[in-house]
Amino acid sequence: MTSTKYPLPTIGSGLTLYSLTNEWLSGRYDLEQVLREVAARQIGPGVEIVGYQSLRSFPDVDDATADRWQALVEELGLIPTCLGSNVDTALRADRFLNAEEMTALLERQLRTAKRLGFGIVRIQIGASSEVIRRVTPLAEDLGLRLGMELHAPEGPRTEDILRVRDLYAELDSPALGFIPDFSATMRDIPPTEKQQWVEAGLPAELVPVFVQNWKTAPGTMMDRFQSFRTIALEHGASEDAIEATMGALAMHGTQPMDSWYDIADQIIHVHGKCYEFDADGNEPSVDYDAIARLLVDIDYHGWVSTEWEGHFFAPASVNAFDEIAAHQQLLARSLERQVSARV
Amino acid sequence: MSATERVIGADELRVDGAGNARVAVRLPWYRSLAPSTIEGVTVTLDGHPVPDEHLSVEINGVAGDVTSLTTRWEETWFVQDSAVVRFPTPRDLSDTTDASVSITLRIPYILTGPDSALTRTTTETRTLPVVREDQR
Repeated sequence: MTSTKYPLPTIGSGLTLYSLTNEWLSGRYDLEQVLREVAARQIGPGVEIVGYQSLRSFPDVDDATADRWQALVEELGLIPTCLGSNVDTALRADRFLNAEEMTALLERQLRTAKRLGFGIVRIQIGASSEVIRRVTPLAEDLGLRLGMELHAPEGPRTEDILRVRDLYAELDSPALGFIPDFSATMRDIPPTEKQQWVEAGLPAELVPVFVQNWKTAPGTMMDRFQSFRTIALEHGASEDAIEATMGALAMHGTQPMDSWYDIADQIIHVHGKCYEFDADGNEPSVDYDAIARLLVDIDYHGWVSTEWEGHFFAPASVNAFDEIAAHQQLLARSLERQVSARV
Repeated sequence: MSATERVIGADELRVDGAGNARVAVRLPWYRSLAPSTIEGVTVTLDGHPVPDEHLSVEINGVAGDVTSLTTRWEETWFVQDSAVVRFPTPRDLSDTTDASVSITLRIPYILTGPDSALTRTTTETRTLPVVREDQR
């Protein structure tokens, strides 16, 4: 793997096209146009996609589409890294898919990943043990690796993930691994998000109260929401204003950075989550010094897909391509400091 | 407003010669979903809701009432495509209307219990010009 962007040849730069959600939904780009823009702006070469976002015929792909994709990434010097699958257990209106149906739906997504030249498929926490067990042999046969995404509010040490780690130990397959998403281990809530809560009517003095509660209150996401709600109501906040903060508990997690070291050998891909950058180019809510230290400490070999998720709150004037470039510059600087400190 | 909060996909409400209105409706999520994950669609004009039984939703060229979508789980509503929602025009519709369109989606991979998944209702309200095709 070669990346001209990062100071370690084992760590490749790239992005997930999910970062470009607003541009994509606006219909301004089709897949070819967006790939050309990625290449022109040199924010690859690694390209990750969410299958159900980027591909019209997903979970399947026809030969003509696959051939066009292959020719295009080759022409542009891009490298397919990871395909985001979805475990749509609640697809039907009348009942959940059973393990056999869910496996079949996931297997179609794996075959599409293989056809498009991806080596890794992101799977989600909704995949039951039974589904993971059933789908692993096909991944092995196709030479694909399956990475369960560790996204807020989960982390390497949360209950549901400990169960997955036990299952992985039992199955002992080289095809199984994890994909850290640094939303799981954040140090603060993105500033723009906090500002929008105040604009939605949350008294400003309650913002630090929320952050403290988010960091330290015990229990589940819902427990933490209720404990903040109790305090906020005492301070005269409206239910609507309190409700506006709830999404943050699902989107942003406060698991310890140290916990990533528990699964160091199983990290097969990384989502470089980011939201916004300050005047110095730093990410106020995600600690990229700690992330760079982690990646160097564990001798990570793989891709970091820049995943800019500020699109869910950013004003239309913010250009996602610029934010992606800013993230890659930040990670490059952070890695450089780690490397030079160790010479 | 982020792209996943936009529901109304056109800048006008078009009314055909027979008095049937149509409005483009976007999928307010970051990825494609099956039509079966649509749990509800509502349209309100100038504060008056259009009765459910008068709404027809067209996705991938196939139109039907909202209930008919529930069986379409082996199909994909591509995230860049708009649905077309049709309904008979109220008699007193003027040249502009305050239109409010809501769509409730079941997010099929975010499970909240042994037989339940997250639902998300997105509503957008806009003043739209009414374009009458028979007057052009």
